[in-house]
Amino acid sequence: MSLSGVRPAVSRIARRCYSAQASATRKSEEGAILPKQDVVVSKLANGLTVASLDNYSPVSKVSVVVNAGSRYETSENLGITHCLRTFANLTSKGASSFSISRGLEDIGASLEATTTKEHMIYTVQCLRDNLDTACHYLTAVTTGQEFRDWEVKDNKIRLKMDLAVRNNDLIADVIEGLHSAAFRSSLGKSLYAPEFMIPSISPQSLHDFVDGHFLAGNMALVGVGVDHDDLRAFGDKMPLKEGGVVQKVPAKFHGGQQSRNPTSSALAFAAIGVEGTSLSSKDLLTAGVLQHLMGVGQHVKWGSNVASSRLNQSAAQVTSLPSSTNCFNLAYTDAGIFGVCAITQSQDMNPILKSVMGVFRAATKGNIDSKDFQRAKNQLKSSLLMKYENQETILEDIAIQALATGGFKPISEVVADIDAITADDAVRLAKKMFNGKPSMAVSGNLSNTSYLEELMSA
Amino acid sequence: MADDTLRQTPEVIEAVRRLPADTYNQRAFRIKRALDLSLKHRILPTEQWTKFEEDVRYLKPYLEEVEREMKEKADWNAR
Repeated sequence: MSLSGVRPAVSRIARRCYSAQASATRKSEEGAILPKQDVVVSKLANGLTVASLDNYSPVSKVSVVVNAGSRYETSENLGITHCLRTFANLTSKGASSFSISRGLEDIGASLEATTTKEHMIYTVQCLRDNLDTACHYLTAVTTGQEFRDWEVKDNKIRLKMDLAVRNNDLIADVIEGLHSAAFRSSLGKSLYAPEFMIPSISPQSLHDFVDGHFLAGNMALVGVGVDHDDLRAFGDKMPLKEGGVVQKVPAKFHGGQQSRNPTSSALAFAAIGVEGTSLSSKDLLTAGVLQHLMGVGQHVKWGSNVASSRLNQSAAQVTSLPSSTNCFNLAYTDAGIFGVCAITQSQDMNPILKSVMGVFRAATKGNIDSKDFQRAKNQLKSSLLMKYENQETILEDIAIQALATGGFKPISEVVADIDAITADDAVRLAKKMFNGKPSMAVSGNLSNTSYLEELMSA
Repeated sequence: MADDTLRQTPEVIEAVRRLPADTYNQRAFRIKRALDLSLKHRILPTEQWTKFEEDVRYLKPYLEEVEREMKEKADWNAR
């Protein structure tokens, strides 16, 4: 099926890339290689930020990122971002719902809509030579949404399906509960629409949200495996609405708050966190080192998960039954939350939470072994570098940095920054963070899970 | 109106499903009224007949859209 009227804005790369590869094979006998490219960030006349990295990959990923995450919802349109991501594939100008799925399948491409607390991300992934077609659908989905009455009505059941899955996921429950308790509005808004809002989400409210947030200055066009000039040309052709960055409600962390959700489960789930570092904070990487010092998931498959985790070590001292304690370090543009997610047998939650608090208190007293500290730094560096081998992560990183700062800090600089962190920095940050009041969310079998004040005073 | 009397083909059924609520309710009322008159072997008084200006093909845009979508599906499946 031909897409007449689609100008091949990005087809030059296909030819260029093949010719580059052809000449590379010939030249490689003489020792020449394709020059390594850096991330390029620029801005178009209409205000759209364009960022890309050409890593000569045969698979391209292009994303449209909008500052329209769940924190931009208001109490009148609660759940609208959940609806937007569910309804991403509905009929738009230029592509019916049916042709979006068949057209993308036809070229072996994929379209994903992701919502985070701060951003809405629409990503197409395709072979480099099919970028024209894939980007045509990307434009339709992000700029030409029609939200037809009957399509919206027919697809509301998918929202209910999402909610059913999410209600079974108690880890999501405690993390969302923690955000909601600690941040209230802004970052506290859930990624999922509350059930009572589903009937009142209408095409009009969807259009209103899109018209208010999908503005050129509030969006970024990001690509990996694409040429920057081609991406700029594509961005110029997108029919975007004029507008600048949309103001957001500033996020404020409240300590001492809690959320409690008893459910039928054999296990208890808890997420307890203190005010952390924001993405722009100079202590962001130090918090990352502290996170690895405390203990994150497994580093070795089938490993004991105790050797490099202070949290698991202290948990093992209070119970012999299986449990899982992981430290998280969530950073957003203007706030952050640093804490522990614990999954335990129902009778073990209180002792484990108390032991977790003990580990944090020990860190504030300067109790950081230098070998352990180096281990934590190495683990942070290697986890970042390993994640950077994944095109998906690179894309997300470029997108968030481009929107937040308009620039890009390469991973090599980040690694150098990590090397420069000293144990004193870590202790200073530990004192600052862990002496603040934590907030907590608990779910599951709460028969032996006290309230926050009881845990803090004991 | 003319579109009230269309034969119930799959395209028509889908197009009627997509009507906005008020148009659909008016259509339902006219059909109900016609059935009622039919069983009484009566017709409407002249003042209540649909005026020429009011006789619009309200279903036509929806019907065309449904037919276009079905053709698109058929075209894709024929490739």
